[in-house]
Amino acid sequence: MDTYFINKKEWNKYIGEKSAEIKTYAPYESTEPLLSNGTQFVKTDNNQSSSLFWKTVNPENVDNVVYDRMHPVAPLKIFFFPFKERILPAIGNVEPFIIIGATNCDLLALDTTDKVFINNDYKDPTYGLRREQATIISIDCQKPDEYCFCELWGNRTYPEKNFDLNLTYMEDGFIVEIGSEKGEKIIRGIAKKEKTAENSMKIRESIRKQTKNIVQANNSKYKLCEMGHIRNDIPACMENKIESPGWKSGAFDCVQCGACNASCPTCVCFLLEDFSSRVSFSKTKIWDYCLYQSYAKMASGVSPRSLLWERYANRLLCKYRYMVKNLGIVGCTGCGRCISGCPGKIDKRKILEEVFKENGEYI
Amino acid sequence: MENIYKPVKCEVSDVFKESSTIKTVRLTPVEQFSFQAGQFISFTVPGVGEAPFTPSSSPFEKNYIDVTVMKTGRVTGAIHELKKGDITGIRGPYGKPYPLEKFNNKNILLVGGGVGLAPLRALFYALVETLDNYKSIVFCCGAKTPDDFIFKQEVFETWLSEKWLSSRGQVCFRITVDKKDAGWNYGDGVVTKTLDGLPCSPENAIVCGPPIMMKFTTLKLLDVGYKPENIYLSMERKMYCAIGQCRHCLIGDKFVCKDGPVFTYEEIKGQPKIWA
Ligand code: SF4
Ligand code: SF4
Repeated sequence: MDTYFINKKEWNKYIGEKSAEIKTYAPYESTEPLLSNGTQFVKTDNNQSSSLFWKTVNPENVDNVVYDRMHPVAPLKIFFFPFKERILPAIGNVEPFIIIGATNCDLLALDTTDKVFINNDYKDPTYGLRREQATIISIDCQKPDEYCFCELWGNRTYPEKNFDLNLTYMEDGFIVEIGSEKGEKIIRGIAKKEKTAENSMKIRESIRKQTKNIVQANNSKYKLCEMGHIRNDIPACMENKIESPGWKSGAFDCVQCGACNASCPTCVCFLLEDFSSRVSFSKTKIWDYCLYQSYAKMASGVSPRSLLWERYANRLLCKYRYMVKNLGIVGCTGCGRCISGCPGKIDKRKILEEVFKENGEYI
Repeated sequence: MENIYKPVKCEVSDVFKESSTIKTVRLTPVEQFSFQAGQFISFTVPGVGEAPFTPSSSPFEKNYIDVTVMKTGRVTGAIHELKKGDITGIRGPYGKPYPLEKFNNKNILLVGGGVGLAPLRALFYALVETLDNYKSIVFCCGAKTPDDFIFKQEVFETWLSEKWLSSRGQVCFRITVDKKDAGWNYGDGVVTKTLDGLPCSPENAIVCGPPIMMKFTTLKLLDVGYKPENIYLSMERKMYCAIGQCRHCLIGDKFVCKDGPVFTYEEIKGQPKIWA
């Protein structure tokens, strides 16, 4: 697709003006937990001075949007699949909105949520509306944290699809790649732009390479690193791994908070509640967390996963085996949120290694 | 586009008490609603919530749908409170029906325990409708105690009557309760006991009941020669959406709502904790 170079001042001016017309969200640095789209996400890792939080853009704060780090604490799915929403009766109309700063791990996760909510025999009442009304302006990651492991699965640190525009931040401006007609329209609205020079494309290449190197270096202690090639065999590796010492050691430090579920861009589980009076039909859809005891417990009190390690195993089996089988997509993009956000400091990469190793799938 | 979660309004036209914990609620949908034996519906009590049930009435019955419900929690508790004239809703039908075409010219064994007789009643009526298609039907019905035995009147006064059975030579019943009392004139012992000395060669078996009953029935059926791919089990899991999105009902990678609710033992035997 076509690429342009747009000067930062020019871009900020454009976005500042746009944000006055259309609700626009973008990542901002903060050391304080912020409300994002109705959901409170609390920063849990202390290793970085600040985390990124989605905030509403306005002409005053547009200069502070962060374009060169990584994904925000809350996953992109919150814009399409909010924490809690009435779906019967459903809202009939969604105003257009713009999201700036989506990263590849979250964009890839849209394949999963799209498959579940719209590319299916049954269309969710609101997810599709939100998808249609959203303009997604993504970025290349440049400062991934030590939990990001996208490259281990062969996922890139920069977007290749599911965006309208993608920005690679460099000194003074951006290389803007057009990903859709919607994106093209935005570009047409920006008067001052240049066709990208060969040189800037080279810079983009080197930025991308650098980011990849950071992710690989951060993960070099995990042998998984050398296992990118087995990505498609993951489900097979887990075939007989319903009972594994790996799961038990993983679950040992789990406090059943559900942070891994809430922060995951591909976790789609929800429950339905009826808050209406007795006279009309109403349903509210709310995220549910498979690490909770209540998740699978039936009215009779019986649960197929009454033990914590069974629920822990189930979450990982769901990502790497069940979703592959029933959606055709690996349900983990490697964003690392379930590691950075885990108060039990459980590192899934280690657990996966253990489980794969047991299966002899190791070097 | 119609909201996928919008139920069809139904009026409660009757309520039957089956046992101290089980009631059958008869629903009259305000618009055309049909299902095939084995498929299930999501039943809403407005203001309370929703739960999945396989109807217990004949799929050929066009005027009403019976839902037979054991009181186990909040929603089922509210269902037990329903009275004639109350408004409720149903969504569906969902899931795959029993594969009747596979039963053609075959022996069919139905094994039901407790409230598990409910879906089998719908299936039984569907089979009886085209009875000549099948070689034989053996219907084993069990319950804990005579009080827990559901559809008593229908079973004892209609199905077991000379008049009903005489024109349906290929149908027979085996009735039992775990623990009988003075007024009980039928068999006693757990339902697996009825599988000893079956009058038919092992071909297809359809099982529905509490998990422990299904487990021991399956083991027994394998023992007497039924093949895993010919043992049909009605699986139950926590469920919300009923359309393969909320993921609560997964048994391993299989959705009870979409791939089931009826599975052959072959399909699910490798999945974790199938008997919960
Ligand atoms: S974030 Fe960690 S502690 Fe919380 S439920 Fe997930 S695995 Fe358990
Ligand atoms: S499972 Fe963990 S690493 Fe994978 S996409 Fe979800 S939150 Fe990110």
